[in-house]
Amino acid sequence: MDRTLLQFVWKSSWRDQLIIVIASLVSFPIILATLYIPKLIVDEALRGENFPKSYLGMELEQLDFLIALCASLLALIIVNNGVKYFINVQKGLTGERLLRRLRYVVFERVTLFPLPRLRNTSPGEVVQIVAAEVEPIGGFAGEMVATPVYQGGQLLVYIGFILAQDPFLGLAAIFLFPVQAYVVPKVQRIVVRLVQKRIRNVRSMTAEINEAVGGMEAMRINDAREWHLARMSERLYTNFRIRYRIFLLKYAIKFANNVINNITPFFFYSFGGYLVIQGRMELGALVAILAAYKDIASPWRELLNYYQSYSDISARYDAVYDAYGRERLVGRPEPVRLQGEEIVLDNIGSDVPLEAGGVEEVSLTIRPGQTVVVLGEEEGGRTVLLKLIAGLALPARGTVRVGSERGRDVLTRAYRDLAHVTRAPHILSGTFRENVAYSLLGQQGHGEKPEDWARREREARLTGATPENPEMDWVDYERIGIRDAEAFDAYVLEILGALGLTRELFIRGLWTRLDPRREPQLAEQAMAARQLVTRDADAGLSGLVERWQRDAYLENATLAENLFFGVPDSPKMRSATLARRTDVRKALVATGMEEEVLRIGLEAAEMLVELLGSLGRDGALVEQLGLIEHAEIEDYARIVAAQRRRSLRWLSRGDKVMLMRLAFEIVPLRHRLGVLDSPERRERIVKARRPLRARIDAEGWLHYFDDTGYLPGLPLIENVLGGRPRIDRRDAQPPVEQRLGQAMLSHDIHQFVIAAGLRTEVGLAGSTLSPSQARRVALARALAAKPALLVLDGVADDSSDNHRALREAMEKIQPGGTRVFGTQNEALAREADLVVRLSRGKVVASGPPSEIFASDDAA
Amino acid sequence: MSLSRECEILRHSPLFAGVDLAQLKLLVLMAENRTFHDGECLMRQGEDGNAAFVLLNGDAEILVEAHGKDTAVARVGAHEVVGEMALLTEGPRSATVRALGTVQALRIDRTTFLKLLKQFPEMGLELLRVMTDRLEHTTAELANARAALACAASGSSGSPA
Repeated sequence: MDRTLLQFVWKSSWRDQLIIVIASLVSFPIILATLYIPKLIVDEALRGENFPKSYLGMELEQLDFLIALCASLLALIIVNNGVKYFINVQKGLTGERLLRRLRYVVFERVTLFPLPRLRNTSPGEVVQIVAAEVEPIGGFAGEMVATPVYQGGQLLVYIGFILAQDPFLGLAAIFLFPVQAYVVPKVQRIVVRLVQKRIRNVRSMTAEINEAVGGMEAMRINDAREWHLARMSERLYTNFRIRYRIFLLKYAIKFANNVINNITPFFFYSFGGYLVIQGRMELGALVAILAAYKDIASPWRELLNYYQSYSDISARYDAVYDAYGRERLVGRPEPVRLQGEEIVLDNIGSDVPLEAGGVEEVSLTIRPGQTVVVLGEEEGGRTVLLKLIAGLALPARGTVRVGSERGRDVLTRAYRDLAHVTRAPHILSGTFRENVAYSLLGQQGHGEKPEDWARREREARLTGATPENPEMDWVDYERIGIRDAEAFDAYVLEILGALGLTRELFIRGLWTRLDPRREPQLAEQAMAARQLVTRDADAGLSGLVERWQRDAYLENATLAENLFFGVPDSPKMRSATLARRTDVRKALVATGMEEEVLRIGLEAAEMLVELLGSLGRDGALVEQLGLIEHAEIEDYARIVAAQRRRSLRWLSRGDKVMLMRLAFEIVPLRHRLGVLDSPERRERIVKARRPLRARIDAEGWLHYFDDTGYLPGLPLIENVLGGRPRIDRRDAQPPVEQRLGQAMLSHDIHQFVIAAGLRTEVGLAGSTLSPSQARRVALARALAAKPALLVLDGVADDSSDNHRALREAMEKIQPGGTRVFGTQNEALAREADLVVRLSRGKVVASGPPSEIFASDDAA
Repeated sequence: MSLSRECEILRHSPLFAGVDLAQLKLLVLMAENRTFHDGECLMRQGEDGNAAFVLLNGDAEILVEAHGKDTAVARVGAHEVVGEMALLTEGPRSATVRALGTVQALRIDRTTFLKLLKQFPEMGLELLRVMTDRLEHTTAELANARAALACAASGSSGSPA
């Protein structure tokens, strides 16, 4: 990273900066010309005599001359503003590119930090730097070179002009400049120190917020809110004090500059006036100086402002550099390969001290195909030793030997062949497939490049970032000898299946909504499955599912679904959007259903206001019901109160939308408000379906339940069932998903649902997975890459059937794989090839289980 | 079945009889409808429970497994509540409840219930009273049973033919 702001800006954008400087210089004569022509118009065209005059090689009469001058002025104005526009765009572009570069550099450096350094890096701080701190640098960088050149140039030209006319007066005009040039930097230095302090303060505040929000559960359970608030308040107070002092100083500088700039004319009037009265100076000369000073003052003020901004921004840059610019980075060394090699640890020790869970003097040989058990407590050195073995930490002492490679860092370079799974693994916020494929990402994506590739690549080059596109397929199939994406799907399904996740994937796959345009095959298979499953009388599904029947009111569907007998294209299209559509409204009015819907909405609103109104400020229950939002209760109360007095016709447009939206979402079996219980009302709604359909153009946004194709607005299961699982039968045993699964299994058409499950999201950092599922996914990820050495810390290590099955699955997926288990479970150690018993960071016994447990067994 | 009908039924259940009507309505609004067919289980002994059921109509039998055999110990009907312990604590179900004929029930979820309790603590008090009564009743029965058992045991060993 470049040491200073100037180096950074110049090195990465000198071409852009030069363009801006040149454009600024070009604009200079144009500006002068736009000032000169009006003078010509007044003096020559209007007041002038002796026509015709020669202009641009033409002989022109007065009127023509005026027109020619005005036309020139117009042209110059357009050119001038055109150049200005160009300069602004160029400045913006340069600034944005520099911003992108700086943000990228910071993040890139963090990814290359040595691991011990990373442990001390607060994610919040990185966010703060990348997102907020560097932002103003981008805004300023565009003008960094152009402003001093342009304003400084102007200043020099004016000063030179005056000095040439009258040296004494020239010096008089700038005699206070040195005072400013001395005082302003002095004060500014204090400002810079404060700016640095402010940055540190905000960073610590970010870390504080990060910690408090991350530990919100702990905060609630310990009732520590007040204390956290006090800490925050304290930080904010410090922040306030720093900011207050900064702006006091800034305005003080401004005050001094303004006074000094205005004092100079004071001297001119007093001393100059005195000299004029004394007759030692011409009045004309004094007027000329005053005019010249005005010209000088403006660029000088700009330069002073520039200086302030520069030191401010520079301080920000330095703060970024100090935090992330100095570090020695690890890079990506040539990988050491472990395949078929013995791994010999010779007398190694960790940089973590013994009392903090470190290890010392560990010697250990891991032979290919062996199962090694590190027996001991996590904090007794086990976790640290397993990290050393997995190459996630660098031994502080000792040597590691793999084949011909030896040195402390050998294992940290063996990342291609190592896998490490812990009890709380890191899960990506993506799909199951993405999570498993994470261990097989190549160095770049392959497949079709996006349309705007050329442009992306150019911009990336200009900002020093990678042009690679994350949307492309990054999985390195060849590394594990797999043909293509489809074969990889099957491979992943096999692994996840062996690890016992098939059922989970099936259920998630059933409830996923897939886009038939993007996954035409899956959609087609779903439709084929419907044919088979609906014919199956024995599946026991009939009582559990409400089929889409055209002439029945659907109790498990919303009012909107009942009215239109269909669902919008996208599940994101909410009832509010539906209620706002003009075609929907018109159709409802024309069929006489508008009033019915509004009445349903009003009746529901009355009940909800009465019931939920007593809930006070806690919105959790209201949100759970899902019909209205907590904040809307008051609005509905107002509508209900107003309707007691007037008829529905007087409702405002917005109120109608609110009532309709509420009515649209009511599902009789779920909400049980009783507003949809009357058979007459239900009949009216069912009867309205046909006329509504005739009046609405459903093309492209609404899909009818009796359409033949796949309905993208519904989850896969409802497409397969041709109906909706009944809400009141959710506790049926076995549940509808299982019955459907068995029915599909009997026809051997269940696979595509599991494949769809592979594409479902696992939630933010795997939040929808149970801890055990998260470990299985992490294990699948580790196994998918066929690692030469798999390190497991507290995973699949107890004697339960579940864990035994996981160990068998590992052996099935990767027969004869080398594995290191960290555990406290002696039973597992008895099955190992090599046992290393750790106690307080030292090896107390090591050898085959027959030796280790010989004395125990004898006793 | 509408909200007000369900409320009526709940008011007849001893567990909720003392609860304020407005709060009861809210509880019913937040609960969910369930239908069970003949022979289906509302809950199974040993499984984790997180909801209670109020029978709206139909009957169910309560079965307790002992020595690998299910024994019917009681029969419940409309207004009665089963699995109410799950409203307050996590833990396995102590008995199996099986529908006799079609049963309609209201399912009250623990998290929902606890949220409601937070809003209306007096509702909790009312429930606590009822549950303590039941516990007392059960304890008394247990004592009786023990006494009877002890009596029977001493009777059999104390009669030397």
